[in-house]
Amino acid sequence: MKVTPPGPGKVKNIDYPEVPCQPLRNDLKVLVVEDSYLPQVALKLILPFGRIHSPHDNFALSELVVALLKEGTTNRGSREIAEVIDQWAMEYDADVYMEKTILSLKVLRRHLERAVELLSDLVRNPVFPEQELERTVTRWRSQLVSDRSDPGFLANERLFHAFYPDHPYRKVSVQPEHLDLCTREKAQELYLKWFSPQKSYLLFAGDINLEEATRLSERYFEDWEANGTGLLDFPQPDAVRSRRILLIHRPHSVQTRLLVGLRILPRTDPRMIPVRVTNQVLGGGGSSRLFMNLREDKGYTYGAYSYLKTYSKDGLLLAGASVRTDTTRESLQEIFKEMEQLGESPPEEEELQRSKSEIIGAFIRQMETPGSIGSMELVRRFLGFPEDYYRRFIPRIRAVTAEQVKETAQEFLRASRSIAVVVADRNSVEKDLQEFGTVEIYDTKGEPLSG
Amino acid sequence: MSEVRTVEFEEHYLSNGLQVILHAHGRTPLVHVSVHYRVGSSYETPGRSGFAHLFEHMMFQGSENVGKAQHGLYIDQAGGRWNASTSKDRTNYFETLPSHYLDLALWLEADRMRSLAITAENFENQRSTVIEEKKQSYDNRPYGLSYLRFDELAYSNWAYAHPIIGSVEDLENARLEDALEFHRRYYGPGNAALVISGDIDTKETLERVRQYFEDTPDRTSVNHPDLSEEDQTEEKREILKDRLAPLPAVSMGYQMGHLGSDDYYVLSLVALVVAGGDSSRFYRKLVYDQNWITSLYAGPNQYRGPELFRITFQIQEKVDPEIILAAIDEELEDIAVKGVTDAELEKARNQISSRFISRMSTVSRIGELLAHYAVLHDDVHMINRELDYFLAVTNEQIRSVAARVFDKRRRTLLLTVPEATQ
Repeated sequence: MKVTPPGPGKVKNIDYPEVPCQPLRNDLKVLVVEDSYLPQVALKLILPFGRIHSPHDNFALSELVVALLKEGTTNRGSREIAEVIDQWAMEYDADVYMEKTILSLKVLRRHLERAVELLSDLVRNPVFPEQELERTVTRWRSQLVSDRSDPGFLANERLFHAFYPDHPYRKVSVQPEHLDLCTREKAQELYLKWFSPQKSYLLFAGDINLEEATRLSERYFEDWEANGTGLLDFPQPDAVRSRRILLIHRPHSVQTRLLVGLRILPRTDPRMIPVRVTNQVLGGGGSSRLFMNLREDKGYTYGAYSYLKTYSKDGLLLAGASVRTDTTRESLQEIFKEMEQLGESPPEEEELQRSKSEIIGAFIRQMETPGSIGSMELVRRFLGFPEDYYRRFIPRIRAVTAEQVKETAQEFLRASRSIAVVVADRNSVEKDLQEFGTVEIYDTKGEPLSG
Repeated sequence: MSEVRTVEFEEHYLSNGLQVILHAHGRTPLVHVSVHYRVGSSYETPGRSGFAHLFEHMMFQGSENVGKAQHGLYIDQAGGRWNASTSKDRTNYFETLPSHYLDLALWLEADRMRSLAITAENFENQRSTVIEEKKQSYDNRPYGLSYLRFDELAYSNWAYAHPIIGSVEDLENARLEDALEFHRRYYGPGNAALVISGDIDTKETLERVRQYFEDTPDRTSVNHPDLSEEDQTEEKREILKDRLAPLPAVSMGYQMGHLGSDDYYVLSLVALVVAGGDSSRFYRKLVYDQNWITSLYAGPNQYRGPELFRITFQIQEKVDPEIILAAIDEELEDIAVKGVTDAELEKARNQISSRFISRMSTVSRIGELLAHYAVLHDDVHMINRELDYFLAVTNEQIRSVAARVFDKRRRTLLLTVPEATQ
């Protein structure tokens, strides 16, 4: 006779904190998450500049601009910048996403002003030195060779090209010929066009208050002039009408990498709340249907998951696994089957509750540090979510019903409108894949191969 | 250093030998529960490689009151996060969940400590999952095979030389009886440390721990492995061809002392001087000046037994590895003769202090640190003392340790070269 587990104690509420926002005269908005538990401050600057801003013939340029910020300013050379960062034990990161860039600098409280000054220098006075550009491009060229040996990278690239032909969202990966087109002048030009305090936010999170954050921001950022450029405008991508199977021939692969994509919704669409719950049921974690089926039941893989990639104009649900090559066909079939089944009958109550709790639990864990609360707030404001978005997040997730999950799955989890990418040695899988229809074949460089 | 918070904790032992460490930290309503078993791949015997890690998988296959894979389901239902990992020296199981679910986590850990369901079916399924994990993480990944090969080459003692993931042959030959015996020998309260960190009342929590764990009898009989390593007297070198590797790469390691030895503190600082950030010596010379290498890592791992001062990097196309090695040797010899500069030492100390501050940011990080000190240092108090060991390192120590350790005869070097696939 099994004993049932102990029930929960009394729930403790967690309040999303007030995050004050102070605009400067140049329209840069300063946000503060105050928390003096540790004597450090995380600075983050979010800019409306991403991969989509790269030119159509050079997907590398946005990333290059951001990478070169720390390689020389009108005040400091690259070595001097490196020296300042290391000497005062700062942690610098610069991440370029599809539609935004986040520069962050974590520093001990007592060196805060040095960090604010440095961040201002990097973002306002870069000079894009020729020599550093060359060095960066050479390293990048080697990195590309590495990237192209990674099945995950190849699958992702192929999928974005398939969903977004002729659309800025296809700019997820770089080709060697893009690097040939990178020049100092082009980097400078792109920088001048898009870097501006308007639509940008500067966050201080940690041992600091609004007054001091405002004072430091005024001192180091207020004379940064806005350039008047608005946001990049581009159309909604086209719909996918029928299923496609894309095979990337990667010789000598000892496993098959599968990635199945479905179009969903833009990030800020209110229907993303039920979509998130639906994704959690399908493949959001180690208790989800994909994981239970492909790993725990069949033993085809070490792990199978699904996740969401959402942007201002569109979003994708991606389901993937690295599977034993001789189970490629079965694994793909099971992924399609799990997608369809969720649209046929609503999830069990227990499964639904668990999926919601997982999302809520992850949300609570994100509220553990001032830096991660600050990041949530930056993204909320940047994307234009309503003021009470996070305060209402938990109740809105809780309110999603089993019937809503079914309807959501019916609308979005349609295997017949998916694009599936298979990365494997074609000799081991091509025949098996033909069962699903026409197989389009590519090499690892992204060039089509004949069938 | 006054900026670094002292971590307050309580340490208790139950009558069955279970070590219990409690840390109250109520800033967010979360709790982290972690069980560390003092067993890792170094406790395996030849022919039975991969067992400690395979066991990590078995621990999610159910116990007397918990069904197969239900452990994760329960934690997920509570909105928690769970995982496990295996190293050469220990295996850990942990969950972070809303604090009102503390009882659930304790009940689950106690149930699988007492009554794991080791059935033929579970065993078979997890064996094939692990074989796929090996392919995904090593066989199908660039440099994966070099990663496994390096320790085999560097260590003469099988305990640390063989891969944690094991060999496919051993995994295929593994028998159910061996799994049962492994569990009895190592998975009991007398060989474990339970850490609870987060939004808890320590007195009440200790009562709960007694309630769930105290009646679990201890049947462990631990064989601590002999980890001793012979002094190397001749450089070891090997070339490995990798069909998936895009660029040549080097892994090298110098024999040094274990975690917590003088060597460890001294060489952790040296690692920062040579490879800690863009202003470090190797980075300046090999990346900024010459553009010879792409990725770079240097430093010891955190092993209970003999460590290696590791240096790994990928080499740009058409660059001769020997030129790079010569440049590295030159820097290491310079440190062995002159030590580091005062500015470098100051910078490394700043970086270490900053890391010690940052690592206190979440209940899970603090919980794992407490367990780390309990299991690998055998002294939980080290959590509040260890920074002083780093800050006390002098330039004289740096010089003398560097002179002894950075000796080519004590070095292992593995060069991975891409193999043409067409």
